Amino acid sequence: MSLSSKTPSGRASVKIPAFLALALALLAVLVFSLGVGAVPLTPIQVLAALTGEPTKASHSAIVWDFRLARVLLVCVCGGALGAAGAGFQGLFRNPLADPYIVGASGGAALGATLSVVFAGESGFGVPIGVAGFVGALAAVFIVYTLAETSGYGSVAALLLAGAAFSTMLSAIVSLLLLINDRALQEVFAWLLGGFGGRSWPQLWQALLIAPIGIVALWAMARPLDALATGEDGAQALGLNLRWARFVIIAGASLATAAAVAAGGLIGFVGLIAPHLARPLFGAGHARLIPASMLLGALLLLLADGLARTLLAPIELPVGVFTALLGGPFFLILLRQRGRLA
Amino acid sequence: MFRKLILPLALIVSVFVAACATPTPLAPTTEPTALPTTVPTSPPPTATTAPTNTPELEPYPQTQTDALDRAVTITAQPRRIISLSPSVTEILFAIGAGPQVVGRTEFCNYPPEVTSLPTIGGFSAKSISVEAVLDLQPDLVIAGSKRQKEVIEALEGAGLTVFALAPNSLADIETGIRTLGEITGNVEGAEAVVADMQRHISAVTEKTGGLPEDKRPRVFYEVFDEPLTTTTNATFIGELITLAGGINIFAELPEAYPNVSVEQIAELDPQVIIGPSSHADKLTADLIAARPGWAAFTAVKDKSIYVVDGDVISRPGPRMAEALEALAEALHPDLFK
Repeated sequence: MSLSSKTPSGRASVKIPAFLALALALLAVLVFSLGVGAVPLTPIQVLAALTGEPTKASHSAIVWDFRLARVLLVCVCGGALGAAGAGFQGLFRNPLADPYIVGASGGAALGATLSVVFAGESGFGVPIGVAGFVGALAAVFIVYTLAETSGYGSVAALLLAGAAFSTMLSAIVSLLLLINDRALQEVFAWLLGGFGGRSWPQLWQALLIAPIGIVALWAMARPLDALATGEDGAQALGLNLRWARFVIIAGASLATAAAVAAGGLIGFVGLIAPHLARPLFGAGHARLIPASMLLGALLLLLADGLARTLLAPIELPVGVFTALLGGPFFLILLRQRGRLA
Repeated sequence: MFRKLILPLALIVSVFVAACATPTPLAPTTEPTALPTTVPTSPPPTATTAPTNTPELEPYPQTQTDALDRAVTITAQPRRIISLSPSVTEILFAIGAGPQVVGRTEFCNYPPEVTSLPTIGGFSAKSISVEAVLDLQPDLVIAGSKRQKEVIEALEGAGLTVFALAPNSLADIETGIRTLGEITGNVEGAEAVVADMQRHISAVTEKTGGLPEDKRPRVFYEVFDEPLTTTTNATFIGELITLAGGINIFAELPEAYPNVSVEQIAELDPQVIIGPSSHADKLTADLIAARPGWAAFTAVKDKSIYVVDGDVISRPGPRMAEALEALAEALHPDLFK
């Protein structure tokens, strides 16, 4: 499939209503999310709690501390993953690229595992989210350095190094977990992803980091469009390939790592969101990236809503639902694309 | 390029080596770790009969049904027993079968003298070494969980006799202690341990049994914080909370150790928060009050946050009575002073 930009700039205005509709849908789901959860609240109860006059004392903590911060955090993470997915799919011209393609997941898993294993042993604790964040960025940096200095010097080297390095890190994680019964449970729960118990501190952290990555990616929209013609074509258009690759990878990885720090390894959102966005908004990255961001937020919001209501008060890992929602959707999309082609 | 790689690789390798050299002895939540005791507890009930090496009270061979519903035949009094769980080790030593025990898991740390015995691995089936077990030439292996099925089958395949306990309630624990007494030829010791437990338990329940509903505090038992994990009344911990005169706010959920929503905790507003000492570093009044939204909970406002010895409360063995006393003292300080 071709990801090249077919929409001339003159058609940009046509997309504004679509963007508005998407933003409104997101807002509607967000407001609706404030009412659902282990403790169902009516819109009036939500409003009462938000305005500081809760109908029941506990509603204030539920809406303010547990739900509002959580749904906003879910939006930020979903948006970050959606945008990162769009960036990586553009960079690699590969529809299967996701935010973890250059080693972020393996690095995050190792970081998280080490933090749990060594916190138990020495009492010297790094929060699991922070360790995941650092691990993700470190792994991406190593993969990037390996690829840039390899003979390939192309995106192929990044893909290969990413796959190899991720596999190696996963093996180390498996080994550490095998010799560490207790860490297994905590790390496994974290690897599945989830926003249970997340609140304002995590939201501020994510808001500090994710937007930098998303904006950097968005700023690279034109180079990403140029890359759609192939690396040689992009170079012919005067693009500094090395610089473009660096900014795209750094931006997407920063956004990904911010999401990982807050919610663990959440799959599928970053893969699906750009695929949903492309038929609606075209393949031009100036629109594709924000659209993927909004759709990623929407998807993750729905998945998280399911995760916290389906078996309430038991919380389920959100990653299970992103895969459950995203998997079939992706397969349908594949079939339709097949027919169009 | 190679030089740039050396540092990260060296780091990873050194981590790898360090991890291999010193496996961290930590256990899953059901049979937890040997972390420092934070709550002083009364001395453990010990067997009143001294261990004897020639009791031969039970006729051998004897056949007993174990927790996996298998009929296990013990041909003669076992002299070389290996325990695959800390609770089994505690039971064996309490009933006077200590001298017959020749191997343990790395988590078995009570009574203190067990630490001189050789270890055969951890608690999970994957971490137990069949070779290490065989090497000790046991005539009986006693498993402590249904989740050890895999290793139980492997050991039986190697020709060993394996008996499994998997107690889920105080009644199960007492039955298990009696069964181990019969199997190991320490019937009197087992009876004494059970009688001692029952004495301690009824001393508590005499005071708490008649408490009206409104005198029973709502308890949130926090097994772990990330993800927020509790336990229900389907486990012996839940049973102990009820006996100690409390109401487990998550009494009825389909899983034994479910991950729960903090929203529901807010709604149910616990008056007391309790957790095991393996999790004590997160259970200080200050840390809990600092969690967003938690400061509004009655338990946090009242600073009613208690830590119980994880080794005692999470091991279905003779020290359950001790765990019950610790819980009852936390929930009803006025009744137990």
